[in-house]
Amino acid sequence: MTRLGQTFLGMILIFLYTPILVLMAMGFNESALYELPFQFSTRWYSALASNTELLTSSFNSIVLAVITAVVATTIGTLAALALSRRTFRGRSLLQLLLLPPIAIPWLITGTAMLIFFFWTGIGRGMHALIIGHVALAVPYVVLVVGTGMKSVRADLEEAAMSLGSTPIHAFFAITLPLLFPSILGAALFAFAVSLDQFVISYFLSSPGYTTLPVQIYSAIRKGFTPEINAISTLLLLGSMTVILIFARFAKPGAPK
Amino acid sequence: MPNRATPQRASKGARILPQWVSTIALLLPAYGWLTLAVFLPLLTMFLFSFMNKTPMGKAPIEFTLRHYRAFIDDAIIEVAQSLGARWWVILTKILIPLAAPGLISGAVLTFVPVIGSFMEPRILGGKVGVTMGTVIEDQFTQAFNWPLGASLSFTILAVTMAIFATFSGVLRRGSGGTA
Repeated sequence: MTRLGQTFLGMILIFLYTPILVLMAMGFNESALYELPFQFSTRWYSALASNTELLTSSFNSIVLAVITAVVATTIGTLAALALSRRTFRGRSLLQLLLLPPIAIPWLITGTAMLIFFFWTGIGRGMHALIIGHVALAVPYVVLVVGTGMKSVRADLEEAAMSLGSTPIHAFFAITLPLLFPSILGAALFAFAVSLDQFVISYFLSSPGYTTLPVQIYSAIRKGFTPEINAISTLLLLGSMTVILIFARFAKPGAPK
Repeated sequence: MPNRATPQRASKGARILPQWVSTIALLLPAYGWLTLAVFLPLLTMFLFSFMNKTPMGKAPIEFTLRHYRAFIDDAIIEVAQSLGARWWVILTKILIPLAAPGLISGAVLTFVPVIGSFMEPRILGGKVGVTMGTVIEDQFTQAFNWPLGASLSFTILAVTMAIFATFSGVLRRGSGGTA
């Protein structure tokens, strides 16, 4: 049984990682048409350096992801605090309403946002993308931070306040440091959600402001060169590094 | 869109195979992989949960499996073994029923993103890669018939909601109310 399981597991890993490895390898292939006698060259990486479209859109993606992570983590943490520490009317309803945005297909969210932004005159472009990505990332942040809040005991805050600390001071001195690993994890999650997001970016990006996934998608429809493999490899290595650093310093999901 | 939905109209003279055969033959390479890509992780997680001696035991995926492990006590399996149950009896009578909530919630949570996908059918599906997703995308980006696109979106939304309503009990039980 164990032998069978290991074989199966190996096949799964091959299935999951072969496309990525092929993508990376083809970035170093001389041929523009992905032809197979493999000839090592770095010409696609040097071509990438002068491909302003791809570089600009990658830069846009990263900036957008950072903004989304900061804004969504702030809003989401505040919401998680309110949901787990305060009692107010409609709390359970609000908690319930956090889940559908995660479960609804992105296509629907994207088209709904497009119609709504068009109708209200917000339009498309960077600001619309920020709103969309933040709206998408906030539920995840609330869930992650809310799970973390369960392990932070409320009586520590109360003890601090009974000893004369103001609620704000108690939050910054006690709750925030204890909550920090969850918040960091949530921020990383929001960053990943935004960086990976294609559907909503696709509907909300304007011709002058696109993100990398949208750029790659339109390139695939028009015809493309291995420069896409090159930029994908670079981004993949970047995000792997971030994940490794994060896994080294914090253990996501582990009970604290 | 209609122009994408009618492939192989040109080969009228040499019609040997019925239309659906060629459609399936064209779809299989693309959607076969897509289906595998959806269901293999599911199977993997399922299998993972019963292998505690693997070197991968501490993989990140274990986080998602904590629910399973909480539900399925190893003692139950040992008891069944000591009472003479074979592995397939253990699998069908104990493991699958106990893991069913997790399996169903996993299936629902993979089904929902796939039903609305349009990028994967576009890239992988070729001429026959027409799904609700691609039709909706066309309405918004090519045909500019936004009301039609919106109503199609709403149809998918209704289907999704119906699925969630159907499985809501299982979902709540299976994932501890977090999904």
